[in-house]
Amino acid sequence: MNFNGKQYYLGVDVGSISTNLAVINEEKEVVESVYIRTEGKPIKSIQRGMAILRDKLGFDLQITGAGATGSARKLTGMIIGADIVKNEITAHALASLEERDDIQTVIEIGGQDSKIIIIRNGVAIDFAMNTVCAAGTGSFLDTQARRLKIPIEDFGEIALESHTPVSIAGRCTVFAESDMIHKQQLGHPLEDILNGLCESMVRNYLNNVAKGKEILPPIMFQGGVAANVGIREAFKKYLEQDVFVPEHYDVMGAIGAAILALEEMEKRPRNSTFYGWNIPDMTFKTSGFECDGCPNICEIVEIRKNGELLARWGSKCGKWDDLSIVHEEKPRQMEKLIVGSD
Amino acid sequence: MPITFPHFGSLTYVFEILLRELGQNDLIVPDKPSKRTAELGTRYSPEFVCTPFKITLGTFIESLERGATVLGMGGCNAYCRFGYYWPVQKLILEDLGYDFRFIPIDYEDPIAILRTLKKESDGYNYLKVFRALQITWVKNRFTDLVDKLLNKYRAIESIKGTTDRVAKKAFRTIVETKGMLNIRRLKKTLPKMFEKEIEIDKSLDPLKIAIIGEIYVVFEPALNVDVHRRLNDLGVIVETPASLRRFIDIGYKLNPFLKLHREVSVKIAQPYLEYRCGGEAQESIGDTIYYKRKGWDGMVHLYPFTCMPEIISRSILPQISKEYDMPVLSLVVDEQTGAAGFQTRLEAFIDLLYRKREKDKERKITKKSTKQNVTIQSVYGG
Repeated sequence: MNFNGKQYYLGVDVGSISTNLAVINEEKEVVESVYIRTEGKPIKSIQRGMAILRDKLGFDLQITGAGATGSARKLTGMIIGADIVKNEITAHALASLEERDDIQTVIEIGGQDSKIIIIRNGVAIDFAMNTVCAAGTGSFLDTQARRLKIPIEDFGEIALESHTPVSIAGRCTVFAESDMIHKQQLGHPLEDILNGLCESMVRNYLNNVAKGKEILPPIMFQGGVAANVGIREAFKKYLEQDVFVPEHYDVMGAIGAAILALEEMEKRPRNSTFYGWNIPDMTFKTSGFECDGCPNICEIVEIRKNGELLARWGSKCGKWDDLSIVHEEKPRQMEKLIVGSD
Repeated sequence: MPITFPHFGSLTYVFEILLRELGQNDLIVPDKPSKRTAELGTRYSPEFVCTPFKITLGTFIESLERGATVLGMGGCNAYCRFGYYWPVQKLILEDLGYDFRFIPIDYEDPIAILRTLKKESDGYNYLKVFRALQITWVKNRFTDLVDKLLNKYRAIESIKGTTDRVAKKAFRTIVETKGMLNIRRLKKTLPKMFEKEIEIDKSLDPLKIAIIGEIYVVFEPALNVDVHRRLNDLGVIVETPASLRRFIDIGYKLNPFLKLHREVSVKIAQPYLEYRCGGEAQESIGDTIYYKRKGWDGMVHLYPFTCMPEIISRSILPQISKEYDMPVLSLVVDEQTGAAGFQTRLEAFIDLLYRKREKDKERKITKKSTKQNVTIQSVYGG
């Protein structure tokens, strides 16, 4: 590939379930994207994602700016050396506006959160995230699919075969599950139960997250769950409107982060702090300790790149943010006991 | 007989001042609520009680462990569950086997406040008690002032941490100043102290956000995950209109020329919420409109999980936000609040406000320029 004369921007979005990376060019078009599972190891998954991206694009591609977002944005920013670290709501709103500038409502359902962004005249004016409950998010569907031993990819297709969805309590994941088992034991066919799950999830979303929000078309549906056709159809049914799923629905956060990096570099031109394509070969180590300075007992996390201390966070008072303070590991209680015993 | 009281943000200083003025020097000033406080409070509280109940109960248990025997607490025939706080806490603490005495102060009624304080003072007469209360409410004006200055200067300071240090000193000065004349002089010296000692970055054009909601959550940084500091760190000037003075500042109440901020905001809220329903429900609604008129950028509305009055205002606020074009972010706080989710929402809200402000400015400029074009055309184009 020939990259001469063009500028490229990288966006990384690390969420609870998936890690997304996207590279865009200066026209904000997606050049390449990667969607993999985080599997509880954000650092490993970033490195893995970077390696896949590197294999696809090659070492020569120059990154002019990098952005990080998602719930692990702080960590991600440290690991890739991002120029800008922003929250996922802003990133999603920007990416959606790039996709269609007349968009008025964005529905985003991810692994452990779901949000709604209300946009009017090209500016986000309101947003909401699920607050006290994670029912109606991707991980709920994931668990149920695993329990029923069907691959999550086929979930929607099977649900669409049903004509009479079973009503399932959608208020709480635990109740939904026991209700689902109950319906299974009564002999309802699998596709009806799956369809019922899709509908209850949508109902829950509209009654919780989207409560009191004015949902006007065009409506965009994105996030990992947008892959599920059953959910898409359920949204269309309940909103009585067409729901539009963008081409890169699963990596919209990463695209948004890349756009943010582009805007940042245009506003304040400088050399990128991006570490480069050899990130997969670096060793990142995190370690934690409990600070015993006060009864808060904060859990402090330290990030090291190739042995050098990059950052430290987690303290409420900000004492450990100063990297010049060295934390000395006190001998563990256990070792003391062993020493004392002989 | 060591006396203690709940930890209440900067109002902790006010309670300390009051007791010292009453001649009670045997005090146990409560520690800042920590993870342990919340755990203790939650363990012994009913599950669905409001969060301030749990935190204050936890604080009481910790103070009792430190040797306190007299517990002071506000309590009245309130409009929400707050009226039941002290009787229930008393029962719980008695069941836990602590030996103590509770002083409930009916703060709605100034005469009742005086009567209770006289009983608890060191043999003072009514005049002396009134004098003590007067010093307290005047000093409370200054703790409010320092809070305001702190939340303003911390957003625009050039060297991080200076404002915190100055504020700490200012609070100590307020507590230690003696004599009414000296105290009144603080009105001038405190702002000067901030002005002189803090270097500010004048190039900034910060957003301004008011924090409204239930008073305990708004005041106690340990419970609201220090939302003021978080917003200040994002470069936003913050102000909290809520104040304890609406109960104890008899000077303001008696003076026909002065009006407490609460009276203003309640009047504005009348068309939306006519009756007082406890908490700061009416104030939250009134303040949203008040700050919009003042030209501020947005509101952050905090309320504890299961708080009844604030749930009422929360369901009215979207309507007001729409009518007055004033963005409001409502956040539920409880002892399990995750700081990460809080931060994400605050950051997103700030981004939203910045983009909104830019757009509003653009619109103003285009409006102006179209007007100019018209005038130019009318002059030259004829």
